[in-house]
Amino acid sequence: MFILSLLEDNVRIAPQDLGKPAELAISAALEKAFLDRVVPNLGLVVTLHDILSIGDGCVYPSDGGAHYKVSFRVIVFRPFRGELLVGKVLKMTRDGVYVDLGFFQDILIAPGDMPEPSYWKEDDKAWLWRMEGQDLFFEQGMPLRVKVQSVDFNAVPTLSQQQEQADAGEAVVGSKSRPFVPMEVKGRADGDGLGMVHWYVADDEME
Amino acid sequence: MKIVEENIGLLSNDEVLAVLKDREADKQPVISRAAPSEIQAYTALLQQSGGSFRDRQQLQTFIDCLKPFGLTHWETVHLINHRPASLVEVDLCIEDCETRFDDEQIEQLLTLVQEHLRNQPDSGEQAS
Repeated sequence: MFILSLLEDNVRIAPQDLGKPAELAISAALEKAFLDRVVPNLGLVVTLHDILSIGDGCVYPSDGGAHYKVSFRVIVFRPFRGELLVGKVLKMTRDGVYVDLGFFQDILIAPGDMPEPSYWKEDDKAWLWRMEGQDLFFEQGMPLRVKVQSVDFNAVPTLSQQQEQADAGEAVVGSKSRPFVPMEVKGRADGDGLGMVHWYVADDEME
Repeated sequence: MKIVEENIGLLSNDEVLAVLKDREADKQPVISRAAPSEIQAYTALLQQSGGSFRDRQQLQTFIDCLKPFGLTHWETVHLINHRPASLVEVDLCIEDCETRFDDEQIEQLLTLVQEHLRNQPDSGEQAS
């Protein structure tokens, strides 16, 4: 789930923070810039692990701040293909089941990746798996196991792309109805042991 | 910003929990120096981990016991993160479990997981 990554960045310390010890001011700046953000093609930065080196501070004309080249390590959430994840059902729509890990909520199980055969029940607004005559429901807020199918990183939509979408009449990426998702994880729940956790507990108890 | 090295190593949930604890993510948001997102991550992982996490030494003991099985690095991390208690769960954590190991070995694996990862940290040390 988590990997350790080594990053390098230029950090600017504002003039008002120059009185603080360099390490503290730089940590604060790095935290502000990276925590809970998705680094494209890397993953979601969960926390700063440590700072390996801080270069000499450079000062540039007409800028009162000092610039430091910093080498640091961060803990990144980046699931790999085939990894098992345990989360809760966030919500269910026609597009599939959304899984919530607490700190990450953009995991989707598409209808094609659900156990065969699965049906969308409009009345209950829920997905269910019909197994041997039994209807097993995906329940909101309950834990489930999912295997990662793919991890995709989306680029921030440009203004022209958004304009095209608006002209075509579809929801614009970045608006409330179609929020921008920087990191999308696609999962599958069609396999032994995958799906809602309570489906399997009942089986064991019966045996 | 430059990504110097994308993947220095895989981290298990327990190790991430230990780092977050160092950053005071277990304290109240008002007095903690951790960001709210870190506290959220800490709470979520702790809940998944069953309320407690093991330190480096205990994990190392477990990893040493796993050597004869010849598991890959990520399979070991899977076992630590998920602590499987049944055959179905082990099959999810390890690829081609049934073809690589026979029933007895899988039983051994389950016992090791039970001993080292499922018990309270104190009794886990005594068992090893």
